[in-house]
Amino acid sequence: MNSLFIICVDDQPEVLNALEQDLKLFDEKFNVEVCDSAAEAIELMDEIDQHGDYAAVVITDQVMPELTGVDLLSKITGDERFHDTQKILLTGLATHEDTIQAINTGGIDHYIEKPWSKEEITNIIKKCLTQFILTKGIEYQSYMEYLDQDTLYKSLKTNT
Amino acid sequence: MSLFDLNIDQEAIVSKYFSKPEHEIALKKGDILLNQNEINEKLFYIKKGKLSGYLPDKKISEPVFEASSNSFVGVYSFFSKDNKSYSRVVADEDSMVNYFDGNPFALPDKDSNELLAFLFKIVIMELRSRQHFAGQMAYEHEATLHKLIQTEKLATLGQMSAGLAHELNNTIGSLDGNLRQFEEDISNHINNDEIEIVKKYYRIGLAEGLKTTSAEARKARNQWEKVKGLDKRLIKRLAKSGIDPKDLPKDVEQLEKIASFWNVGHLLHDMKVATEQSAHVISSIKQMGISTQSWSKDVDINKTLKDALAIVRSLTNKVDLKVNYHEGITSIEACSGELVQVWINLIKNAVESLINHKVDRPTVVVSTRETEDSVLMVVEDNGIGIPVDIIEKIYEPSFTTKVRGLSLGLGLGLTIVQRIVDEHQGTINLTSKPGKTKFVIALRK
Repeated sequence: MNSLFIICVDDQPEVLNALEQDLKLFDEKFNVEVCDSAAEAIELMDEIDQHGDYAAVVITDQVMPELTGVDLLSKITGDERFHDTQKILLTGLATHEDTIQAINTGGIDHYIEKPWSKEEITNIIKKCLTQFILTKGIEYQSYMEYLDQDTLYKSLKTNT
Repeated sequence: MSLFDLNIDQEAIVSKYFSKPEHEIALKKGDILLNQNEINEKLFYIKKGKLSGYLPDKKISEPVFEASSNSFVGVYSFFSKDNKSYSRVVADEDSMVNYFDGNPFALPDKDSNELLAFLFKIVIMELRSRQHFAGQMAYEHEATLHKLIQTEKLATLGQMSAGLAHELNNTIGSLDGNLRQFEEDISNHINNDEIEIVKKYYRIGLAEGLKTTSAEARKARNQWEKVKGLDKRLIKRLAKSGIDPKDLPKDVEQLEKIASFWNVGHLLHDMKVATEQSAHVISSIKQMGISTQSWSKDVDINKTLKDALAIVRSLTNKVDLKVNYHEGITSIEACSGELVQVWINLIKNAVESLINHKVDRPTVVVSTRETEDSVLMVVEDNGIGIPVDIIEKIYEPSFTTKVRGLSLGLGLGLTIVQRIVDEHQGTINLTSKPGKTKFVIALRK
């Protein structure tokens, strides 16, 4: 079975660590990976794709040296291979312009403000995973406990 | 033919039409030549002195025009339909004027042409000079307003930050205290109850924190995957710790414990670093607010530089530092603690920007100098320079070009510098180009 990856990107190791800790529950069925730069995330996504696995969700900080979160998300949006990858911007400091850019060129699916709560982030990741699995047509039964019932229900309703 | 090509001799005109002895008026400084709305049928030539026009009805204290010797006043009312003076004309200094009060159209043709041509030229010149004056006034007004808004912004910010700093100080203080106790208790337990190897990795975690990067940790997983019986979660944790698998027992239960206590150690470490950083940020915010330090009449800026250099030694070690003291510099009235702060902030900025941009042969030159009326604090670096488009913004709080945002402070350094220099009624002069950025702060003697 192909693995699904959740990729977290932040230049501050403390934040990355906290994020990894909060997403631990997903590590049973999925792979939670952390990257301290956008470049590293891009490299990792290449690897994932080469293995025939899925980059299901990318959750990134905005303010980072070199490539910003929006830069990263724009690159992903422009890449055919990651067309369905769900994109989340996680940030404590975003200007109005950043936000506009995030929506228009980054094509973000969700926006989370720092500091986040474990519950909030868990729910959003669940929604994103559900969306990804349904779009890709992956057999969802085995992921049931990690999926967002609402999203699932709505999708099933429109498809039948 | 342009009007200005006409060879009109002003001297000749003045001596012909503006020199009757009975038309001569001597004005003392403050004397009013014309009142607003007064009927005026004279054209005044200023032989000497200076006059200004005011608009008392508009309650504007600034003049609307200034006229000095060899120029004319009353031009508007002389030519206008109702002959009313639109402004009040006052002598700025002791002045001498002479006037013409005839009807230029009623003179013989030759004289009339000559005088009218001359007056036409005067009118045009008047228009131009008043236009220029109005523009100048608008510009000055704009500049004053801009400065006022800046000052107000800083003052508001100061009050807000003082309140904020006070509140946060208490919470951080309590976090810091609790964390210390927490660490002590945990350390005691581990030291008493655990085996040597567990203690060892707890201590390493506590002392060093997280040292591996995310990429390194991912790589290290390969090695751990070879060890039998470890699950995915444990492998991730062990790989993150940076411990070499060869150094550890192969017993899963023990590995589980080691990973867990290393994690506790590194989390404690990170929390301590985070509290320290918060305390640092708060202290910068406090300094931005109202100053509490005392002033003295004989502050030696050489000494403030020495004090500052002692504090930032660990930073300046990373660059080539050159120090020039102006020997026997004049003492000034100042707040020495704050001047130390100015040096520190400027030097820190210079060093951090050199390091962050990996500048070749990074050099910082600090000097004290003295001019006729001021003493100067000078900090220079050979960094990449400040781009023109952000030079205006660098004193604004939170505006930072530092590479790693929060971890290097809040970007308040230059805001604090500006606040202190303003308090000393000094000036900051900044010149910047690639390879040379120079801050010169002048404080009056």
